[in-house]
Amino acid sequence: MSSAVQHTHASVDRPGRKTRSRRDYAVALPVWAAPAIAALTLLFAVPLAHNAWQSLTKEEATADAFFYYRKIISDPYYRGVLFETLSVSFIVTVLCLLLSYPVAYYLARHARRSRSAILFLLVAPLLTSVIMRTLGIRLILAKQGLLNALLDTVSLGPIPPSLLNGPFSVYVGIIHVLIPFMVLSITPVIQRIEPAIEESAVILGAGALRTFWHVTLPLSREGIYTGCILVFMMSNGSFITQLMLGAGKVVTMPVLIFQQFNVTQDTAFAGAMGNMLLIMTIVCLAIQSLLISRSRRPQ
Amino acid sequence: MIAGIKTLSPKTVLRSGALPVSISGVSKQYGDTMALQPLDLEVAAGELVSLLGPSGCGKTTTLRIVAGSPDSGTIRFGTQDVTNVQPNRRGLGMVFQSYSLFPHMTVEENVAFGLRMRGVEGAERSRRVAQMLDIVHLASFAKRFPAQMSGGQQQRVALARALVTNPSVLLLDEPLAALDKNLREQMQFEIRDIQRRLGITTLLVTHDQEEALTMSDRVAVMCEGSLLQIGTPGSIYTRPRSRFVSAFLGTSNLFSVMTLGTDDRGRIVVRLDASGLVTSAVPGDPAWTPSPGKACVLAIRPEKLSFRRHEVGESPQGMLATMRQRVFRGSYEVCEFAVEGLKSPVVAYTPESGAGALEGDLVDLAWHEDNAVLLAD
Repeated sequence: MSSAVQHTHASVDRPGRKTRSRRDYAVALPVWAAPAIAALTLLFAVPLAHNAWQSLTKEEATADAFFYYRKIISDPYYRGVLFETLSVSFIVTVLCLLLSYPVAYYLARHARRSRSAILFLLVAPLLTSVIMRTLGIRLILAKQGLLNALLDTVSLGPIPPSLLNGPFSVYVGIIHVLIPFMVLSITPVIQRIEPAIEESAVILGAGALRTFWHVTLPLSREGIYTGCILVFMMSNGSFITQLMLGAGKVVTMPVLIFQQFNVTQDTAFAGAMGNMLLIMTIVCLAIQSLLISRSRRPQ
Repeated sequence: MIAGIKTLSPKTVLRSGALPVSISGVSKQYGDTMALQPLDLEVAAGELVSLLGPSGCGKTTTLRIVAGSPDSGTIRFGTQDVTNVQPNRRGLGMVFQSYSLFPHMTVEENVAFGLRMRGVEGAERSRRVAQMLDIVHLASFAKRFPAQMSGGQQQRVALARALVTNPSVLLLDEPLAALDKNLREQMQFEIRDIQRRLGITTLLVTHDQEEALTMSDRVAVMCEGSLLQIGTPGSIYTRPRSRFVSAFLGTSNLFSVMTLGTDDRGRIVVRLDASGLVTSAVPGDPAWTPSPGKACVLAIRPEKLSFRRHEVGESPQGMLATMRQRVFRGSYEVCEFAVEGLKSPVVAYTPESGAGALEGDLVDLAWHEDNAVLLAD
């Protein structure tokens, strides 16, 4: 009897409507996204389209739409720059990964009290402009800078300026800027690996090294992919470091674009190079989503 | 060091096969808290001993020490001192509450992992994996990933993974706590059966008294970092040595009593504070004989209490009580009685619905004196 009464109550409580849609609980309206969409269209999509249009129609592209693109790929100089861009990014990514993984592992597994301090040290540099930080590195690595002064006090000769100014400093600079992104990509993924899983591997006979190789590393793949792609793309797009620390010895795509826009004012060619970079970035993102969806397949 | 016992270097690989486990004087400290008082525990080859107690009693610490290192004391498998042997070289199998399967490997790869680490190759490895999957009834799931399986199936994979290497000791850390009740009961019997068939020395950590009673050859009850009592499930249940053990394993009716002396059969004669009834009881600890005039506690299991309606004018037999409630529980009934002078109600389980008493009736409560256990407070 009492259950029958309850049933009646239940149906009275929900008059007519059988299911509630998410809309009933929504706080925001789709219209609210309008300013953001407008801004993106005006400041991003339109210039991008304009750029693409120019690179296909202006100057020497008037007769041959793909003139500039063909030039980038077939001209040995520009092909070299393209290769240099990719190789710098590749080396930066590998070094970043090697330097960041131990930090990420320590942060996820061992840091207790030092945790917030390490996180602060990782994030704090992001609050300063890249230019300021690169300038700082330039001062440290200058001919009579901090590094050489320190080496001098321990009676080690100064590092020759040819080494200080050039690829070495550029790598130091880019890696310095990008390491936080790698660490912050990997740490949460390692954190999600249950310690008991590694413990199981040890009890099943795997030593520390084999546990890392067979269990920890494969399970942190997702973070590694994300971090690597992020760092690779950001390195692809960086040019301030090359300009300030490279002494003209490291010429990558963005450096060339910067020169084309500001020095030669060849906007059509610069646009074509920009689009090349954009295509490379899109390919990177595609690879990332492919790798991650594959590593997620068992779940 | 006892003669004949070899101390092994951390690099020695132990031979697999069931071994007795001997833990002596083992203790562990975390910061300022003593997680484990010096503890001795002997597990015979092929025996299943469960460590039972509330959380924080040191049971998991004890289990982890068998797979790790104590602050003091020694751990021996058979005649071999393994205290300083690295965990990956002790020849252990372990099952965790969270299963802790490798999510990036298939069921087959999970089970094969231990064999791979031991250098078992090719056909031999596949044969042993297939055989073990057969034992846990998962032969058709070999190619699945853990995330595609139910909790019970995952736990069976974890068991297969732990057993396939033919470990000398199997450690089960609350292996069934994450499963729902029906599955848990089924798995208790299943694990018990597999453990017996393979004859593997096993330590089981649980906080579930029913699980401990069902699965174990012997139960070790722990509290606050020390071992209170160890014995067969039956002996622990019927002859608890302390109030804690009595209360932790099932329900007990507790009466405060005063000791008077001993009877002709060696039992202790006591007087109940509440009703003044004089009766005999067996001491929980066989070695304990309290002196007369001592305040103690009498523990009687609800199923050992019988009752019948008290007829008017009849002289009371046993303890006079008023029936408060009768609750039907399927295979038995729970009856609750109020006894004058007692704050908490007395509970009795009775298999039959008869006994002629109704709620509100005056009844005589009785029990066999051998079923009344005397405990120091």
